Amino acid sequence: MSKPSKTALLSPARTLIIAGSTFTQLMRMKIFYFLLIFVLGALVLNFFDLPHTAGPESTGSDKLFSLKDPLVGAMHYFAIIIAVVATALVIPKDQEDRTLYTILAKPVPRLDYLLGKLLGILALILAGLLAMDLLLHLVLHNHTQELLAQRIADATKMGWPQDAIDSERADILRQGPSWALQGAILTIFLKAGIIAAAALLISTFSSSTIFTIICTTLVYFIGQFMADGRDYYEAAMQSKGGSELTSYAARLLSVIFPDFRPFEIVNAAVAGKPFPLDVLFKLLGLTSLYMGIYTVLSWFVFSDKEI
Amino acid sequence: MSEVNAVEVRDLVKDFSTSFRRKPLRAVDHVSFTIAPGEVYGLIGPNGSGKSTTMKALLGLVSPTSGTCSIFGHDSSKVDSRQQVGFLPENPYFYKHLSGEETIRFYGKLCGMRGKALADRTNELLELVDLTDARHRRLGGYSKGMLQRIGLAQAIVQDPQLVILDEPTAGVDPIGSRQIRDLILALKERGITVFLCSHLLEQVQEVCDHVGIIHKGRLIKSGRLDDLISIEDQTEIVLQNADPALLEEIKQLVAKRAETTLLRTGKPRTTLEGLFLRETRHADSSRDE
Amino acid sequence: MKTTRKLLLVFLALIAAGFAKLPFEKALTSDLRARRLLPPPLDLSTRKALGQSSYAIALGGFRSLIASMRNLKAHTYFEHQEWTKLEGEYNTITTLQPHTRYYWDVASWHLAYNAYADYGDKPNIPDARRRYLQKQFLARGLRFLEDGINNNPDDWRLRQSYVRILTDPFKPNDLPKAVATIEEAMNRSEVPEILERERLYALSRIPGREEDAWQAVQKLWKDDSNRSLPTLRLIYFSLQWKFSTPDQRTPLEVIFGPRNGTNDPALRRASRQNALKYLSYYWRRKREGFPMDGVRESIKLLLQEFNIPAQYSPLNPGDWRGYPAELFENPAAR
Repeated sequence: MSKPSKTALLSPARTLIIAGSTFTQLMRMKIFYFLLIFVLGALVLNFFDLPHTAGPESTGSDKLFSLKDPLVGAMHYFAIIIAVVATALVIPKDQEDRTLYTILAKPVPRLDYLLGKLLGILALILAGLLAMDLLLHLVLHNHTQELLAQRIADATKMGWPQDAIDSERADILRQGPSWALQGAILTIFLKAGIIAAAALLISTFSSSTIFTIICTTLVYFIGQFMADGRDYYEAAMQSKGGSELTSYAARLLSVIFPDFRPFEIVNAAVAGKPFPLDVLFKLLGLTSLYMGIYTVLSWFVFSDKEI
Repeated sequence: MSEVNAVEVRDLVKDFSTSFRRKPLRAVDHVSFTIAPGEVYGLIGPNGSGKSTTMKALLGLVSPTSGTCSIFGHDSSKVDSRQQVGFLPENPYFYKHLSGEETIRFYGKLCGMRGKALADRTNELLELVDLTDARHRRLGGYSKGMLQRIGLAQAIVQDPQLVILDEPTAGVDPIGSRQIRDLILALKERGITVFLCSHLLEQVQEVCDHVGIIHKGRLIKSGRLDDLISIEDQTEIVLQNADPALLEEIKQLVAKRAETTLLRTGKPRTTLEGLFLRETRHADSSRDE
Repeated sequence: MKTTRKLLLVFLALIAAGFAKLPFEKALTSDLRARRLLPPPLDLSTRKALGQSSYAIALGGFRSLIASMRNLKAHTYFEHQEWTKLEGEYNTITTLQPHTRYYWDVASWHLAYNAYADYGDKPNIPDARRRYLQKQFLARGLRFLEDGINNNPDDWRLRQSYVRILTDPFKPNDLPKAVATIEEAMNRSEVPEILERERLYALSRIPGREEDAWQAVQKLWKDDSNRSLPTLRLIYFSLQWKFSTPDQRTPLEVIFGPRNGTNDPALRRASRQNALKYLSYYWRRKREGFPMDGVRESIKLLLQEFNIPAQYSPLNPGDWRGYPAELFENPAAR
């Protein structure tokens, strides 16, 4: 009997095979029906104006904001829900169906399996976001060009000076398709990545899918509240000499749970503010750190878990 | 040079901790057995006897509390040992969203197979398990028998030297069972070691060379099937046109009489089922004493 | 390894990693708040206004969604002229989304313009109460813009909206504050020239600051594109009358006609006609406090030049409805 070749601890090829299978599995679970709702919403917003008030000094770019805001919000919802639910589902489903046995009975290290599952889910979220991003930009581009043509024509007719017309154009274009908006969508994806990695960690020791979903949702909400809570308790300690115990509890929470506050830069980008590149790199770094920690800990728990 | 055993389980103990009782549940209690290369070994026992746990320990799916398991001399807790193993679990479901062909290809890729080699092997296995017509149908539409057959196909996709089958014919109709039995025999003929667990003693009797009986976590009997099911205190003489009274006389007479053919002598055989029931009852009464 | 032991190690690892990442996170959040890319911490007292479910959703990172939904609700209050409820909604909305200019702008517009006008028209309200309510809502509208400017100090459009209310001829004015607001914006960053013009318009109406206005208009006059703007032309005309000698002054035909002047008699005539029309409308805005030096004299001269009958003179007291077009078409026929 010849000695078997040493199985690499991490094989990108094997990981991608599992990722591809996970992606296909989730796709065939008709998760993308959600996209239909998004498409409908985008079409409604494209052809109908929501009740909208604007002052006489409004540049009309506010209409573009009213278009972007709910659509980006929907993308955010999609990404978070898929990250929580899909990740919570994958390992228990494999275990229940005994598919996990057949996979791990092959020369597949558990790390490959975990990473493959995580990557498959991230691929699904990314594909969904890209599809919605494309639709958003089509609708936004359409509206921006229409608005631009209309406002410039009106401004020229009213004899506005060139600098006022240029300012109007700049204001409208700032609310239209932009790299800042792409940065915002990428930020949504990064946030979903952290949530998915957290869900994966919880699912490695959780006894049920529901438990994983509930815990991950709690992680998400605590992460959202994190910075506010920390600031509140720090302020309370300084001004009123609040309870030390609550302060320590707040600090402990802020240490354990992820802080999603920096990711709310999405709102600023949607409002037309620029998205600095250095911030994007910092968010990428933070995401990599979180995902790395959670994945390593997932592997630690899962590596000798009784299947 | 002595050949390495395909499977070697030495003094395997597996305890599971329970939530409400302090004392852990001992699922496997000092089990030891070996399987030589090319053998078909059947592990039989009632539900909850520790068969599946033993298999899982061998596959590294659970960690032994103590003892060792090895596959072709390699520690079964290491991923490397599984390169030569194919496994079909009890009542498998696989990925329903994949077709039969996609399922085999998926597992083949996990074993490092690619390209034309994988494509050829997929076609070969689909033909072997008689699922060529259903290759493009998703597993969600497969019957129980078809699932077992595709399970067998994925288990041997990388042409392993050891195949582990957990209740391979459970819930399968007689025709399907027969097909699976024939497949196992085909594997045996090719020199592949098979380790199977089953309740269906008749089927184990048909295919296995060696058998182990496990009861409440303990291996209470193990050995060659023929040896186990033969009855020691009886002999048999098969004669043509002779009557029993002439036993001694016949022996001498046979030697003298050229025209009479002595076909065989030996011990009469009981059934495996009879042996199983006798041994388990005996084990229980010994414990009670 | 037992599961409980493993989980304990996981917990400890999370704490250790948490301490490592905490300074980075805090620094990043502070940096983003300083750059006004993140809103300030959600005021926990806003919880009452939001209600529990909205608060949870807002905390869940969907502030913009809640704000959008509330904005729709505010619109219905606008339709029913429920101004106090509308104000309450926008207090919540701007707390959720303090960096979205639109909400500050539209809140101030509703209160300082719509509510103000509504109380001006509402029947069955005693005059004193009417004036009080108008004053109240004007102040509230301005307050939204002040808060908006505090949260978005680099947003010149909010300051522009603020200045326009302060200089609105149909509302009580605070012209020095308007000028100061624009100057603050100019000190922070480069602002579009429109804001400089608005500064000029406000400055020119402040008694005692005519000299500053003259400096400002001269600077703006140098840019050719500004010379087509009626108000700027008129302020220039008037201030140059005050601060320049007759021989230094730019001729009327140049101010109100082609930029480089013209020798073509027809074009010169058209320019002077333009001048009469502009100066006449300008004269009717006297109460706004714009400089009027040389305006009356020039109108008289031009009325005479074009043989305009006395009843069409803008200098007459009472209503003035402009010049009928036929007055300029064929004056000889008259």
